[in-house]
Amino acid sequence: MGLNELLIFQGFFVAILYLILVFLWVSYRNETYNLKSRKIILILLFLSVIFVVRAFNFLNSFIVEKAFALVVVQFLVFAILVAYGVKMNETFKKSSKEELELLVTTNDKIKDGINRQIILPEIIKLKNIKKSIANEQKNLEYLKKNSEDIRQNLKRAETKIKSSFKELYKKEDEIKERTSSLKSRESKINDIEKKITSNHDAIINKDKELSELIANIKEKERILLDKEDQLKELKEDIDDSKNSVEKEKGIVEDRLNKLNAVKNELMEQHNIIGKERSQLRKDKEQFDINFRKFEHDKNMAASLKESMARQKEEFDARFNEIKKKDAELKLLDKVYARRDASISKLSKDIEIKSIKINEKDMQLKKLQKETDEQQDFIEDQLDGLEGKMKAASKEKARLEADRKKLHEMQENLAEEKNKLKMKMDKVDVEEEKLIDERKAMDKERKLLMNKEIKLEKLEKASVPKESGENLVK
Amino acid sequence: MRILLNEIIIGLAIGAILFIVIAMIMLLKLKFFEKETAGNAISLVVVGLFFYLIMAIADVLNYLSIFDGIYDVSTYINLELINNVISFFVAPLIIICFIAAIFVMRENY
Repeated sequence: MGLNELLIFQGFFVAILYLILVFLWVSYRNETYNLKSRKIILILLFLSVIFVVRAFNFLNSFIVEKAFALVVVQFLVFAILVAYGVKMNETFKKSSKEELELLVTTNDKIKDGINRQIILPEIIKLKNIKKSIANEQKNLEYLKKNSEDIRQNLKRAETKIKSSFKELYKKEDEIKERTSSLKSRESKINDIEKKITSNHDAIINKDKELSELIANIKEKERILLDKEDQLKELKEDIDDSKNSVEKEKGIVEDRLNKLNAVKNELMEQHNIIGKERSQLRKDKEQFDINFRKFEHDKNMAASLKESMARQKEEFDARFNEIKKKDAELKLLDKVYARRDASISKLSKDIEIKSIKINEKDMQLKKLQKETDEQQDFIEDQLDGLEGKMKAASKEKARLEADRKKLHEMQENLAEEKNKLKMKMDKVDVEEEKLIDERKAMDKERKLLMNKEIKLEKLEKASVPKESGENLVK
Repeated sequence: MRILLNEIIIGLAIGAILFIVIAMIMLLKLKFFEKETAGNAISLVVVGLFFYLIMAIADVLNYLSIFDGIYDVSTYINLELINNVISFFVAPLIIICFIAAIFVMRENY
């Protein structure tokens, strides 16, 4: 079974139920129950037509016509119901009024007795009650007027209190703003102090750096002086550089003196700021005490809201106090503004001085760089000279070694010469000996020649030619 | 002509809804002129009319959806579900309320 079929079945079921309802209502029509508005329910039973028409929802081709018919019937049924209901309401009201009038206006003795004994005293009671109600209303009006006056007074008082509270809140806000501004100023002063201390530290560091630089310069001077002594050839250049360094030293010493003066000024300013800060702290403590007092008074005022006059006087007194405090605060503000201006001036001076110090540092660094460059140049030159000296010393050493060698060679040569001389002498001696021997030999030869000649002569004279050849041999 | 008819149908339906509300108020007023049990029966009838009001409002929405060219309500509201719920639960509740009212009167008179 589909959903549409179920819906159709349900529609028909509802229509049948409504028809049963109609049947029940019509069947009870003849019963003797007393219902005044039974016709209205009878009209409602015309809705059975609508349910019967609604049961034919599955006829989609007549959907517009069905809707029109349903709406028309529905409209008519409920329009008749409303019209009949209005009419019935009016008739019921009229009938109820008539019934009530009948209860009162009749000629029966019993009803008159009821009217006299029961209704009249009740009417009198009601009248008395009305009178009392009227009196009470008058009293109420009087009370209302009084209450209105009191309310107005209260409103005025409340407005005054509100205005005073608003003023108080405003003043509180102002005081808070002032405290916040004071705190911000304190924080600014602290920042400035920190900056001053940082600047002071920076100046001290710079002083240390400058002292280190001076020490370095002095050391360099010493080194230069030492090198001056050592290097006479570069003395003029070093003298020039020394003069320039001395000038720089003088400039640096002047700057150092200036920096020391600035440092002293800063220290004085720092001391002044410390004093001002202590004064500010004292003022702040006083202000906190006053503020606490003011808060305490405010709490007391909140608790004593009912006692207006006292509060007003207290408020006036507090207002005066607050005004005095405001005046004091304004004076303090002015003092703070002046101090701020002086601090800002000091900070500006410090900044300018720090800028100048930085510039001087830069100049010093430049000078140091220049001196370093010169020193490097001198050191390079010194290194070159040292190299040359080393080379010369090496050459000297070589020459001395050569000399030594030459001396040794000369000595050897002398020894050899001596030996040669000795040998020459020996040779001369031997030559002389040889010459002597030659001479002796020549003498002998001559003698021999003479002998040969004698012999040849003898041979020629006596012996054949062969004996002469043997003699030559 | 068709547009005019549609407008008339929707106007009548809205008028019927207003009449239902007024009828409920009138019945509650008339309840005070009746006796206690009859008043209870009328209050049951008023409950049945309340359910009928729900059904009439759903019908108006359905008429708006029927004429798609003019009013496209079905895109915003699930009318099929509403119709199913009404035809399954609300319509029998109306009848049950009315029958209960008749039985209350029958027992007491």
